[in-house]
Amino acid sequence: MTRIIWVGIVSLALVVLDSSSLLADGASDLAIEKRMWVIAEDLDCPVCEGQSVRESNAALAVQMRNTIVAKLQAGHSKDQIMQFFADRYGPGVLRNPPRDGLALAVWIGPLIAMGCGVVLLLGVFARSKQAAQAQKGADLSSYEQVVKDIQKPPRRSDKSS
Amino acid sequence: MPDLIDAGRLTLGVAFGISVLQLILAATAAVRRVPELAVSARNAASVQASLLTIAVVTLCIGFLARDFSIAFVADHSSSAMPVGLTIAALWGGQEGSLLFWTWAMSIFSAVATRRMLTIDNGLAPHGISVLSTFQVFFLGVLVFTSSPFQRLLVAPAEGRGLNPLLWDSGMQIHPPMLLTGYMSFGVPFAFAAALLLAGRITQPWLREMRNWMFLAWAVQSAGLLLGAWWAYRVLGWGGYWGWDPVENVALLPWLVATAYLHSALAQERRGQLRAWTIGLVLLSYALAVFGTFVVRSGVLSSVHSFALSDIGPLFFIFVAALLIISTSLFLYRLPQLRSPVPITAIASKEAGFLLNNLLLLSIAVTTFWGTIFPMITEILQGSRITVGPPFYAQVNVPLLVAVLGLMAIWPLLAWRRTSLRATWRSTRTPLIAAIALSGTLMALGMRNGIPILSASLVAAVVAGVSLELGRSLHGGIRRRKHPDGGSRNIFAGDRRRLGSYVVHLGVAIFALGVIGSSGFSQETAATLARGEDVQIGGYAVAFENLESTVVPGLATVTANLTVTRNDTPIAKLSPARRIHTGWETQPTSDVAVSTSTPQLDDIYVVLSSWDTSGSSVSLRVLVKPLVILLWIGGLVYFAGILVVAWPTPQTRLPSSVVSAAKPGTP
Repeated sequence: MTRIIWVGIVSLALVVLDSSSLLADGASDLAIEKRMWVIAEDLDCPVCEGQSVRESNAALAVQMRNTIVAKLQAGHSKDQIMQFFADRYGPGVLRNPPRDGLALAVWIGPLIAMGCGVVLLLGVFARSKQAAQAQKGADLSSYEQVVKDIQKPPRRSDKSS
Repeated sequence: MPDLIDAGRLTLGVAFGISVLQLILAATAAVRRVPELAVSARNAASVQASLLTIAVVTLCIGFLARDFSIAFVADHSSSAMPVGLTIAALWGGQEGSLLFWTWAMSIFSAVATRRMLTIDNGLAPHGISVLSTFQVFFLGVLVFTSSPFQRLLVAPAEGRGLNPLLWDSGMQIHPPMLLTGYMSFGVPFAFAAALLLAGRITQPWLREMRNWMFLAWAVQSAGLLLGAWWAYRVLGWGGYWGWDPVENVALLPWLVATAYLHSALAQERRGQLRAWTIGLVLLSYALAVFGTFVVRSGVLSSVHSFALSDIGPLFFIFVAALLIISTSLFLYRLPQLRSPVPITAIASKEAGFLLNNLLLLSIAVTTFWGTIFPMITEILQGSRITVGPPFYAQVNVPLLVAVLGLMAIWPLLAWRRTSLRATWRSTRTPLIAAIALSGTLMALGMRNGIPILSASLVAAVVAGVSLELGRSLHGGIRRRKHPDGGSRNIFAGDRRRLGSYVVHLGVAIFALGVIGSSGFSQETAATLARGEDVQIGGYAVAFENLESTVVPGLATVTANLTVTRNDTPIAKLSPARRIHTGWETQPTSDVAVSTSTPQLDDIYVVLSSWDTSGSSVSLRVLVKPLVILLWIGGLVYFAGILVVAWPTPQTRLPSSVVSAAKPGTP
């Protein structure tokens, strides 16, 4: 008896948070469901910190998944659906930052950093080439270095570890 | 019963006093050049470690004695909790994790100060000063603003209990591992800062710094991997990595440390990249403290928001001071740090290290930028822009694929300079393996570019690593057979190199797991009546019955399911939901996972809800291929770390002496 009561209490607690009757009535169409999950992946669940609409089990996320299914069935495109949610919940709902306005900076930042890195690296190689050309007379010493490197017993290098 | 709160407070207070004393001693030793004072500072470090151990034990006793007059105990435990979990509650909140951090740091510092003094009398006082500065800061925070020994005027009869998300065996190791990881970057930082403060570089000091960095990197790796495991098994969304801010900031020091471990090789072998490696050491600790700042301050919205607190500003000041002071010191000393040996050619091992550093740091910059960007937009335009996984998938994934490519080719190249022919000779096997696999995959009808490319690169890495391992083993066996003796241990020859190849192998296996699970997952949600099943990815998951169990403080509802493939039952799964007393609004999932063989698909089921009568359940079912490879790859990775770190005898006699001493030994 207590068991049944407990199941009841627990279920009630869950109904508040969860109402996943999505598939029972919603997407019988597998293709639409597949597309729904893809779109849900790119939407941030507005009420749960850091989870996407795909991942979240919150009531709002379930509702949003249902909305996506409904809109897909009505023939809306992914972009239209994303725009719909962005208008409704603010641009923060898009997990993929837009490529315009201020958000453009998030895309450009890494490119600039990588560009600087590449330039730096090319600089290092160029400098070393110059250095190598400048000391052509030192060929012998580098040859000796090679010989030394080869002759080094291999187990010496693990001494320090 | 003695009053635990007074005891704890007193211990922490004295420890704080001693840390200040230690700082004064070490700084005087450094400035006045009196190494004897540094010895006193070393002893102070040991005393401090003992005192903090006592403080931690005191808090543990408080937990085990269910002393709810201690605010921290009342907030993070309850009588219903099992003993193991009660101890784990120590790091279930901010004050406790801060205490844990400071305690672990005190032990590391005590060992590190000893090592410093044996290695270099002149540099040691500087290093000890830096270590004690950290301790003064953390103990200061513990004593003055965030004490785990706060007294509740009215002790409640029952504690609040632990956040149910943390009721998991992963909870017992993942957080302390990450805290230790973050913390341990402080030791190599102190080594690097000592070089800058003293303006002098010695090889033994650099080697010791590298060993500490290796340790920190290994611990951080373990923390990250356990975090992935915990997320996968507990959070219930089928993922192990979500580019969540808290995950990102834990990845940052790991990335920089990985970059360091590679360029440090060039530093050791060829004297190159000296300034650069020191810079990376400094950066990794700054990022580690930034990570704790992010976790603890709640500035970035994230699923880890249960760690919100008010010590954010203090940490912010600490990070800022750390960055400003270390950067200016670094720039001031830069002329002395520059290494005289230039990099010679792009087709050389050392150039590979440069490319590796370029890629890893690009990933770090992208991750950092993406993590803080929402905050920037909030400041600039008042509303937050979300930078989610799609961003990282587009920017970081190509970089990670490039890292795989680098891993496949460059380790096989020689130092300094290689001729085109030699390059071809040493890299043709992995290249052929890669081309063969991509051809096979395309012939099988696969058309997705990134998975094909990265899987082929994984094949190349595996081929290259096996080749090298085989070669080394062969050489080892030959040496063993040699009449002149040599080592009995076939791995002894070049353990560090071998170990790092094994680590690479682990990374490759891990990467395969990532490719499979991120590119080929399937997901569905279904409501099933008894006996009904849901079909997904060739599997059928059928609902058998619903069970519920109740123990004091915890109610569990479990759905019993059967998984079949081609009408053969292959597994029984029992996903559950737990409701903890006091946390009724936060029911947690017990995810059920089963790995099918030989397909290596994870069938991952979450119980979403159920009908009160127990006649139907709603499930989320995911089929995630190759996730098991993540954990296998992780184990291989740590096996490699063990091979590298396995202690070797400090002094080794020349082989001729050994064989003379032990005649007849092969």
